[in-house]
Amino acid sequence: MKKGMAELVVAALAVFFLSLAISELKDFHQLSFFALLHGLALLPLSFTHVEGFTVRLAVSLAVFALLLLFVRRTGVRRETAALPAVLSLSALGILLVAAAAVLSLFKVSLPVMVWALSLALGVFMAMLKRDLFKVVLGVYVAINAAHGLFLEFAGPPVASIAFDLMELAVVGVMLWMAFLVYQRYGSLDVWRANLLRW
Amino acid sequence: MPYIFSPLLWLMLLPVIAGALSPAVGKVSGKARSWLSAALEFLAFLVAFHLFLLVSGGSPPAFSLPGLSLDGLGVFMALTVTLLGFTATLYSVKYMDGEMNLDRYYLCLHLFVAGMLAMVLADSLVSMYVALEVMTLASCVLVAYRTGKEAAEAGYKYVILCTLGAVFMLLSILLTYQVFGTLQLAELKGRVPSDSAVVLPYIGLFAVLGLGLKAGMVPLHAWLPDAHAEAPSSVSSLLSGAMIHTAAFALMRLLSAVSVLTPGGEVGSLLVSFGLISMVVGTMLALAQTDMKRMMAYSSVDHIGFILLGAGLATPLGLLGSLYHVLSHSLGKGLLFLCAGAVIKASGTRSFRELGGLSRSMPATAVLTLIAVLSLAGVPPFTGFVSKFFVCMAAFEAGYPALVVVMLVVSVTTLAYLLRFFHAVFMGKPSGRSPEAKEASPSMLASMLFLAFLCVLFGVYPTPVVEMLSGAVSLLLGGA
Repeated sequence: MKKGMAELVVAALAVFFLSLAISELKDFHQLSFFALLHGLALLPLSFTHVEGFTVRLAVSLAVFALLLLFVRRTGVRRETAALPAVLSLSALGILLVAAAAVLSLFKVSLPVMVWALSLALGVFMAMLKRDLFKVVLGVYVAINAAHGLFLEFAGPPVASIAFDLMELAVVGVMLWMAFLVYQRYGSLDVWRANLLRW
Repeated sequence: MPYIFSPLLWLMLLPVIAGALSPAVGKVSGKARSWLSAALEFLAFLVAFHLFLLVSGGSPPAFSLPGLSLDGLGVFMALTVTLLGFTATLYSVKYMDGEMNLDRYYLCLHLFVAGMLAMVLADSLVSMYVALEVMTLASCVLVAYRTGKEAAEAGYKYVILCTLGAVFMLLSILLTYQVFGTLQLAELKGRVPSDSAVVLPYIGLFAVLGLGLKAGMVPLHAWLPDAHAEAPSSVSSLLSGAMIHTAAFALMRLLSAVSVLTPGGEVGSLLVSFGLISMVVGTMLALAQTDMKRMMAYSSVDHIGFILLGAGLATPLGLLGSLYHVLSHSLGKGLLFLCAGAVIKASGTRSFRELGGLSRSMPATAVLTLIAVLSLAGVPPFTGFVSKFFVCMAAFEAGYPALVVVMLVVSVTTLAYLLRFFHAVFMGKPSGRSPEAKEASPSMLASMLFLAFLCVLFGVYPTPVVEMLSGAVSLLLGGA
């Protein structure tokens, strides 16, 4: 199966808009579902290798299952708090502009640009969200975007499968750690757990 | 040589076998599991030493496995990692006695060692990335091993930040592939395309962000004090003595392979700047601590600054000093964390304000702690003096006398806060919880003694290490 430019563009735009949705949604069940779609949006990139496609599909479903398990175990459905909108939006704006500026130096294609913006969005979520769950999802979005970029640039099939499996392991361990923090503090709020002490 | 007899294969397999066997053996006997773990890690250390002798004999064998290969650089780091792996498992025999979930502890400890070995022996950027993730995941479980709130916090912070670091490393890898068309470190050597001048600094920048975070470089060190403080002391010894160095080593290797580590170059200057900031900030923050493990964690930030600064100078002497400091900090900080573990186990507190006069009840631990303190501060004739001397000389030769002054001030401050800790814990009158303290067990003392002996040996007689590292530096300067 050969991937076409149109497929790439559609996939990349899907990844970006799903990333945006993930950063804005408040309900954790919806968030988990959008994370699944986010993972699946990378599927068109794996069309060149059937093994890669299968592993990618399996990883996306497994991540979805892990997210649902987390929501079920914690019993918390909605986000606890968010940073002040001005600070949050300014940081997002700075990251997106910086990513676009760096990439414009290389005269990059649209899919690459969109993945880079998704990456910035993921890093933004990981650094500035106050919710344990959203921080994990932010890192997941960032890894997915970096992974998408890697496939676009290089994409040796063995490396791709190895990266997929590492991604699943990382999400699993991140959720486990988030669950441990929730269990011991009784809150998903990063600030309440005093996680940001210097 | 048949594949199955390859020492490199066994070097990688032994920790993995130890990890796989731990849960099964643990069901039969907890003591057998602990001793088997230590024995297999010791075998791994012997294999690394055998490989070291082969490589330093001048005829490096052509050992390789898929994604891994052996050279003078890798074998030096492998020796350091297996040494710390062995001392940590030997120390764990008594130190972890009676703890819960020891199956998980030993499994992750061995996987952690295997991940670090894969990281330093990686011959491609893909295997380096996978090893980085394995190392992160295994060590994260160890950091969150204790049941307290702080341990969970530390584990969460650690995995989130280090995974973000891995994302940046992935970006560096993909840009490398875009420019060079390969991810094999050996093939990157001397293949700088003429139109890559714009992209190369970005490869360096992303690598510095990704691996610098893992190395605990300021301002990306936020995970380090929590992780080092909350992990069991045997794990802290590995985190501080080996893991942050494997990251710094991988950074040097990647930067030199893509030819951006040049004297006075942009990336070199960036490393020097981060190194300088890490030294100063790490020292200041260490000075403010009263929790002994947090103080040691910030001290690691200070020492990683020396390593990055030496590497950033990118001169033969700078790289030699940097690699020598990897060794001396591994030995000194590994030893200091083990000594701290013995004190904490005996007294039940990490705050050195609550302690005093422990030299009467723990005289051997006191002497070993003093050796670690003096070595880390760079006092002759210990190994820390030799490495700091090389880095200072390199900075002076490169025309940065101001850097030498800063390094001297930082070293004096390091001596001050480490001596303050030593005085508070071991000197004066017994106070607080001190009267209850008892000397560490023989197996714990044996592992500490081994590291202390090497701290003195490589300080008094640095020639074999310098000779071996000179070859490693040539490899770095030559590319891959």
